[in-house]
Order: sequence, then structure tokens, then C-alpha cells
Amino acid sequence: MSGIDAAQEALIDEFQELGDGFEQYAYLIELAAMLPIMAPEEKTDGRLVRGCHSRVWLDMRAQDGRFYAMADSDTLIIKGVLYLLKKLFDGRPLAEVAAAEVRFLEKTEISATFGPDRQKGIGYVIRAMQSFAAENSVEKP
Amino acid sequence: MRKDLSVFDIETVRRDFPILSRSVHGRKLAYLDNGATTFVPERVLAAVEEQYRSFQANVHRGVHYLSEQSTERVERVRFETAGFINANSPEEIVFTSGTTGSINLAARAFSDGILQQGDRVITTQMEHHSNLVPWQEACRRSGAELDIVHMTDEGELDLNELSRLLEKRPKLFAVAWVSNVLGTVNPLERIIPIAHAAGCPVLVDAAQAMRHGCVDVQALDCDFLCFSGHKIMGPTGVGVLYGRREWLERLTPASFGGGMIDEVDTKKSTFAEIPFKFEAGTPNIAGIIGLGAALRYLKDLGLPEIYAREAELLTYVGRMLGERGDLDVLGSPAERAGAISFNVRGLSCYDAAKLLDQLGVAVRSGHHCAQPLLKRFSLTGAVRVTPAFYNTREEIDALCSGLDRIAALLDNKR
Repeated sequence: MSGIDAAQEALIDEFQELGDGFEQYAYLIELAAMLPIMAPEEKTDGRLVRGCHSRVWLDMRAQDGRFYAMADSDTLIIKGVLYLLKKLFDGRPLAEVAAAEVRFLEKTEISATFGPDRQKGIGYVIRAMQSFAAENSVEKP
Repeated sequence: MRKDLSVFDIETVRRDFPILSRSVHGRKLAYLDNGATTFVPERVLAAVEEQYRSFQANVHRGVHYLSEQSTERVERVRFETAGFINANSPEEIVFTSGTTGSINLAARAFSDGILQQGDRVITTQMEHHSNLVPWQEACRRSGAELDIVHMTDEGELDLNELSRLLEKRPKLFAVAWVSNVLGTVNPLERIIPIAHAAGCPVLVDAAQAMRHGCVDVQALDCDFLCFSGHKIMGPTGVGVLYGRREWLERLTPASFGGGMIDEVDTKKSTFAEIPFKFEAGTPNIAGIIGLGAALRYLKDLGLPEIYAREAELLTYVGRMLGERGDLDVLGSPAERAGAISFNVRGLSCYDAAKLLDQLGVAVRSGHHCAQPLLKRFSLTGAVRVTPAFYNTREEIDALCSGLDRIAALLDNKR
């Protein structure tokens, strides 16, 4: 099991222990507060992820073969999801990020309660992260 | 214990809408999104089902029994609709797919025969996109100019600006009766005479006004009035364009095909009389039957009682929200009906509505198809509460309890 897979399993367990959707959303809002702040000048139109219903800014970098991202959103619940994605991917090898199968959203209540527009939007964020990781990885998948 | 607002027996009324007793996310539903669409009473469902089960045949086409029955039933609804809004005759009632369809029909007809290069049309900053974008497009097609009446900080129309714009002799003023975001009731009884004095006809978007007060197109003296079935306990996909007879006769059809013609030749066709020249193709027959049942339901329940109950419920929501220190209510119009919108400080409208949804409280969030209005308040979205007569104070209290839980959540986060 990769580091990302193990982290996802832990996340899924953590969320399932929370109980109902309100508690899971409340937890996402708590997590949102832990997402490192992106300065207003960093939230440029060029960093907006296209296709998201909520506004999501993403600034990614590859360093020593590993993936790092800064992210922000105008929606706290989405910020919570960004925090989780950052926790899963930050500092991991680029090739591992590119090849990861992200399933914690489906395995918890998060995805089901987002509705199709937001689900698609989060999909765009994950795709942007994984495309960046793939493009910058020396180990091509 | 607080006494509920009871101008009629609310428990009996609620039994007409079995969907009100369902639960969501394992919690009791408090449906406060009636500005988007209202629930449908059993009587309307039965009427729609009966149409499909026992009649179904197409209208204005056949001489057989079922076709004649369908035609008679649809035309009876046209007659009843005319009576409901006090139109001068049923010929002034055009069935459409809804308010959006009605306004698009009018805008298309205006751009094809009425509007010329350099003409002017007025609409407002307060409009639903459905009463703005069709006029933008009508002006683009015809070369006319679109003028906008802006709003005050209170969320009311700047009537001085309207007066100035009317001096340019516009060809039409298209305006909402009730704002779908702020609930502002525009003073049409003052606006329409001013517009008419300037020779300008008025189209009223009454989508949010129909449950607010008596709609009497002759007393109002409007030239056009549009509304949807699904905001007055009817089915989706059906609506009405009322047009003053002389206007409907003057306008050219906006869509063409079966049912709207008089005589067709391979080179040229002539069109039917009003209202049929505006109803190309097979109409939403079951929808129209459902609309008729909805109008009868509302009348039987008692229109004055409905208006009073909705007003009291909205006042109650306004008071409960106004007493909170953790949110900002949009606008403070002199008269508000149907809708009230707010934002919880420190939380996006999406977050707030999603959290409330998890507690069973259904409210709308987002731009409400009124982006220019929100930009006026430097916002991109808001949470909107739109009660209907079948709602209770308990359901509004559920909204407030939900807001309390959200507030506690935000306090913990801070």
C-alpha cells in the first residue's frame, strides 16, 4: 500500500466515525481553518481552476521530485477538501501523486452530499494536481 | 407556547401536500425554497394524472371525442386563467413553458417588428436574468439600446432614474413586480402610469408576485404579464403570457409550425388569430390542466388568506433573521414579499445552505439568476429564504436553530 493509500484509509475511518453529514461538513469547516493562507495577491485569475462552481485557486510546485501545493477557495467546505487533498499529496513523490486513485470522497459522505456540480469541480482540482505531477515527474507513468 | 399563524387550518392544508411530511438526511424537512418552485397538492397531481389516463388526445387537431375533450379542458383553463388575473378575455392568455418562455416570446416578437435601430428598451438592475438577457438579445438583434434602472441601497428601484430614461421615449419597460432575491415589491401602481404617460408599454415579470397579492391586469393596467405554473402549486413546464389584446394582435409570432397557422402554401403562410398564433406545436396539455387545477386550489383555499399568511410568515422570518447579529440581510425595501436573502458573516452562502440542508432545511444559495443585483451589493451570492403558505413557524424556527448550530461551529473554529 502506498503512502497515499494508507493516508486515505485513515481519512475514511476518521470521517466514518464522525457520524452524520452535518458533522462531516462541520469537520471539513474545521479543517478549512487549518489550510495555510494564500495571500490575496497570489489568488490570481491564472491560478483559478476552471470549471469549479466555487472559486478554487491552485498554486503547485515540484521540488526534489516531490509535489507541493497551495490552495484556497471562497467556500469553506471546499477549503476543507483542499486541506485533505494537500494532506494526501504534499511532499509525496510526483509519480505517486500522478498515479494515485483518489477514493476517500466516494468512501465517505463527502462526495454524495456535494451534488453533481461540486463533485465535478473537485474532480477538476484533482485532475489539475495529478496532471501537474505527471508533467513534472521524471518517472513517466 | 407560541400560537401558529392560522388564517386557515394549516394541518389540513399541509395534508394536501404529502411531500411536506417527508424527511431528508434523516431529518424532518423544512422546505423554504418556494421561490424556486412550490410543492404540488394532491388535487393538481390527480388532475394531471387524469388527463394522461383518461384524455391525453391532442388539442385543436381532431374531431374525435377525446380530442374535443382535451381541447375543451385546455380552453377552460384559458378561461379560468383569464378570470384569475382579470384579463379582459381568454384570447389575451398565451400558454407558454413558463415565465422565461413568456418573456422570450415577447422579446423575440418585439425584436421582429417593433424595435428598430436606435430604439430603446428599459429594464432594471433588479431583474432575474430571464427578464434581462432576452432584452439584451432583442436589442442586439434589432439594433436597439438597453437602458437599466439602478437600485438604491435599500434595494428599491430609483424611480427618478426611471423618469429620466422614460424621457427617451423607450419602446418597452420590462420590470419585475417582486424581486426574486430581495423580495422588494415594486410600486407598479405608480410606475405603470408614469411609463404610459411617456407612451411606453410595460411588461411585468410576475413570477414571484402571484402568491403575494391580487393580480388584476386591468386594475394594474399593464400591457404584458408573465408567470409560471410551478411557483403557484402547479406543474413545471407551463406558464402564461398575458398580453393586452391590441398588443398581441400587433406582435408577430415568435415560433412557427403546427397549430398556429391559418393557411399554409409552399411559398407563404398566414397565421391564426390570437392567442393561437403564439402557440406553435403541441402545448403542454397536462401541464395546462395542472395549472388550471392549481388556480382552482388556490381560489378554494382563499386568496386573501394565502396572501395574509405568506405576508405574516415572511415578516416572521424577517424578524427572526433581523434579531441575529451574525448575518447581513440584503436590502431593506419599504415593502417585501415572498423572499428574504442574507449572508452569514464569515461563511459562503454555499457553506451555509449546505450545512442547513444537512439539518433538513432547504434554502437556496448562489446568485439566484440575478448577478447584476448581487453585484450592486458587492456580492456574488446569498442565502435565500422563500416561505409559502403551507410552511409553519416551526419550520422557520428550524432554520434559526440551524443557524445557531452554524454559529456555534464558527465560534469553535475561531
